[in-house]
Amino acid sequence: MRDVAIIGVGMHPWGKWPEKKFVEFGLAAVRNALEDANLKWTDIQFVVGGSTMYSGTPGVLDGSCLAEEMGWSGIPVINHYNACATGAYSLDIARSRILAGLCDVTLCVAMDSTPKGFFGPTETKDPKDLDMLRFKMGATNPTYFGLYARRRMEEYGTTEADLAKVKVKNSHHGIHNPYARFRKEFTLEEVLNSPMVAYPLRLYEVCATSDGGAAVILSSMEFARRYTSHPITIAAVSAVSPQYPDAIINLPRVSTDSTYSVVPERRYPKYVADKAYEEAGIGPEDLDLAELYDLSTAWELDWYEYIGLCKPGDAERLLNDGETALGGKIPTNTSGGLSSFGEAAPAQALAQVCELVWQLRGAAGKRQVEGARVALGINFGLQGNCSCLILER
Amino acid sequence: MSSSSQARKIPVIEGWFTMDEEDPHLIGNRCKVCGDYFFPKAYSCRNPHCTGTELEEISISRRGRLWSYTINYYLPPTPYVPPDPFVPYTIVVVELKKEKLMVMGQLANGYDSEQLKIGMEIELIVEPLFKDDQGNEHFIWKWKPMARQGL
Repeated sequence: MRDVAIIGVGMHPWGKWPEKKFVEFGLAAVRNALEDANLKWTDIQFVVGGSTMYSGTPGVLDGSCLAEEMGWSGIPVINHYNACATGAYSLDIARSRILAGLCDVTLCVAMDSTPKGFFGPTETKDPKDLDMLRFKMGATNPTYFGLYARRRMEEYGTTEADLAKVKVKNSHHGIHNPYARFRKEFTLEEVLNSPMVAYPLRLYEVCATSDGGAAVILSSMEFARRYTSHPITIAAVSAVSPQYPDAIINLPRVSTDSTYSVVPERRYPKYVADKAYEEAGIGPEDLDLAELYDLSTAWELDWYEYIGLCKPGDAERLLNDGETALGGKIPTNTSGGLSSFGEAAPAQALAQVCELVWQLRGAAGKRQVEGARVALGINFGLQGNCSCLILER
Repeated sequence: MSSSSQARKIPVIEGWFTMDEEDPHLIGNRCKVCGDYFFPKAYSCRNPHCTGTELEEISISRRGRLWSYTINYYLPPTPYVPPDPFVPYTIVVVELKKEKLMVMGQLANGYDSEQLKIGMEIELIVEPLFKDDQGNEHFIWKWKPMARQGL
């Protein structure tokens, strides 16, 4: 397959701005990305917008809302939603358009304006709505994170201090990121003394809900070379659904598939990462850094294993040896991760792309991983929407 | 609150579990071709390698083993109906051996998460989840540790 380049990235900082309309986060991100790529809005030939769930019908059509604010330019605009993996799916659509030879320059953009506190279900009158049912039962998103974390403790002897150290590490990265919402260095004591939310996870160990926006501009290699001698290339986009049977209770389900007739070969998250390595023709040993889906501290440890940084049960050792901190062998969440950003679901895969691109360009300032050439980003969302991206310099 | 004579027992979701308080069970179905179990009931076989479309309704096993648990300390958003005052509650995941699937649920009233050990034997019950303004009790399935723990 031919390469596709990333020639511009931009963000609006993550945070809480109840007075702002969601489209403002996208506008800032797009303007920054255009400036970064040294392009005009009218140079964009195709837009993929990641929808937001929390701004009514305009939010579902947020790519179109954004295009209207930028000024209708007569180009196709896609609006779609794939939960936390939205940005990866956007990238896949946007690169396909280029690979098909239909255009040279495409834009992916997403923004979110979230309610404060726990995410709740989208109101529906359907008496069989599974999302409504699990919330009636009290199964919030952190409930699922807590269940996985407690199981990890049982299987591998993970301690509460191990979990807290993930937050400490990511907070040390996030203080250097001007786009991060929480720029504070946390100590182990502060994390361990924060209120329990979903045992064994504490307040500073589960992800907040944020407003924010991110944009990424893609182009053909021919187009990119007119602007730069060192374009960043997309080595893999693995945005794939689970393989039956899905044997872990994933959001928003309250049960798993049965493994009666088919024994799962591997867990879904590992499958998603494997597919990315396959497409890129590399392995975990080739990575210089990774942005991992740390909706909880425990989940970051799970990802070390799913993406093959270590074997199952070794994640705590990797963390405690400092291998995943800046300066270590394979720094993870150099941006500060979701723990420093909070969730702006449709935008977060694109926000990861921003960080990976800055790192691969050597432009990440105090967060820079020296000589970074290969970088990976993971997302995992509702209803079988997991993704893994690999970018290369 | 209206008179208790009119108060009813209502399942929070229709068709997922029986309201038999003595011997309750979850209602699932099973593919007549590949034998896979489904809870909640599938519309047709979900095994992509199977061409089965006929499913038979079955009772899901009442007993399984604890896979994991968590305790929620913060008040969830609606439609959760909290007791007054709100108290933390435990959610468990139970692994069912025969059907080879896992089901989530609240820990039954009167049980403490301190008693829980992963791998322990757990049993299904149906219990009120909350009471509405008319005094109706809304029932759901929950899980309780079995009195006698086998090996």
